[in-house]
Amino acid sequence: MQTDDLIANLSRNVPGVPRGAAATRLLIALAVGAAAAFILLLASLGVRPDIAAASSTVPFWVKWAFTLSVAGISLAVLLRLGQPGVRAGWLWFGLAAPFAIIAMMSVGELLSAPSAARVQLLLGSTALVCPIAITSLSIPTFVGLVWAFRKLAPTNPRLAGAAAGMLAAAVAASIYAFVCPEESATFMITWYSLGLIVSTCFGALVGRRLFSW
Amino acid sequence: MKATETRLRALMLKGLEGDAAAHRALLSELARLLRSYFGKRLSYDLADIDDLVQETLIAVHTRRTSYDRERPFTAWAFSIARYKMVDEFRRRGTRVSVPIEDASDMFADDDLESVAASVDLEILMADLPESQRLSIQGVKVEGLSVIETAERSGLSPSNVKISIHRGMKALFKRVRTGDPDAD
Repeated sequence: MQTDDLIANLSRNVPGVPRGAAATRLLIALAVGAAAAFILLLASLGVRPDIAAASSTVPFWVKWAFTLSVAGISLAVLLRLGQPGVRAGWLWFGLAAPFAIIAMMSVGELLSAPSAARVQLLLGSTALVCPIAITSLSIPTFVGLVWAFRKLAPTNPRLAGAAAGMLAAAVAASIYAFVCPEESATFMITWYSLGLIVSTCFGALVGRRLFSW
Repeated sequence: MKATETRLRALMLKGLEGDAAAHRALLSELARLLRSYFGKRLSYDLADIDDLVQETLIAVHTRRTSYDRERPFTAWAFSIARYKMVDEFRRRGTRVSVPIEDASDMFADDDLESVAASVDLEILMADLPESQRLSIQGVKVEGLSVIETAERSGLSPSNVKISIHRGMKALFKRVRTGDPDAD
């Protein structure tokens, strides 16, 4: 086809693009993904029976502060990765911050605990379930993000896939917090991070295929 | 180059509001710039260059959502072009490499043909440290003397020289690997 014909064809239908349309698409994906993850959680593990009481305790909010800040920063990173010519820059350091803070809390916790209690801080009672649940619950959000990216243009598909995996897992972890009974920062930095990392690696693995255009 | 950016961006903004005529004008002008952008970098025949131009135009059209209205338009459009070019390399199984002579082209700013190259330079330089960027901008791009550049940027003259040396080294490395993210 001649380029002029192509241009004429493309210009036949030029819908307007509202401001912030890219961010809106990502937020829609997050909302739908989070809702789906919550339904999955209710159908499988349920929420912890003492959720009303737990939701007013510090560990619960530390957990949320961790997962929601990872979600927020990876959302900002992902949005930039979907826009050609825009760099994530200092946001990469921002993404490391929540992990660094929880890691420091964990060190403090381990140092002040009697040595016999340390293994308990690390393993809690749900060490195995946690990363598996987070990775599984991240799937709906990840699918949503793949959809959102059909109108975006990641010039590094593999990296975008990784960031999408991280974001999806951070959303999943925020939902999983409704059932998670663990209270230690050591548990969080180990098993929550493991869930996040597995999902991030998965995203990187499928990124080239699902995010290229 | 500034004029091109201003004009294209204005067309893009109108197109995003649903103005089909502006969108059409934008794509036509982009087609011309892209033909020269790819033509300079690839030794493909005209038909293949045109395929690449068309693919880029389609991406520009279907992925307009990925353009942030507050940011430079040409940086966006030519990042898409570069992505499509690298993609084409990959498909053909050739290694991504831009001949080193091309790098000196990038510092010419004397004709419209070099718009694309200047845009490239902008993208390449965007994440150099500020001292290196200012120094290269002053001496290599605008042709000022080291002293003038030093005065303008508030750096010492020897600092300007070192910054140019380091900055140019970093730029050549990026151009050679064809990867704007290489450090």
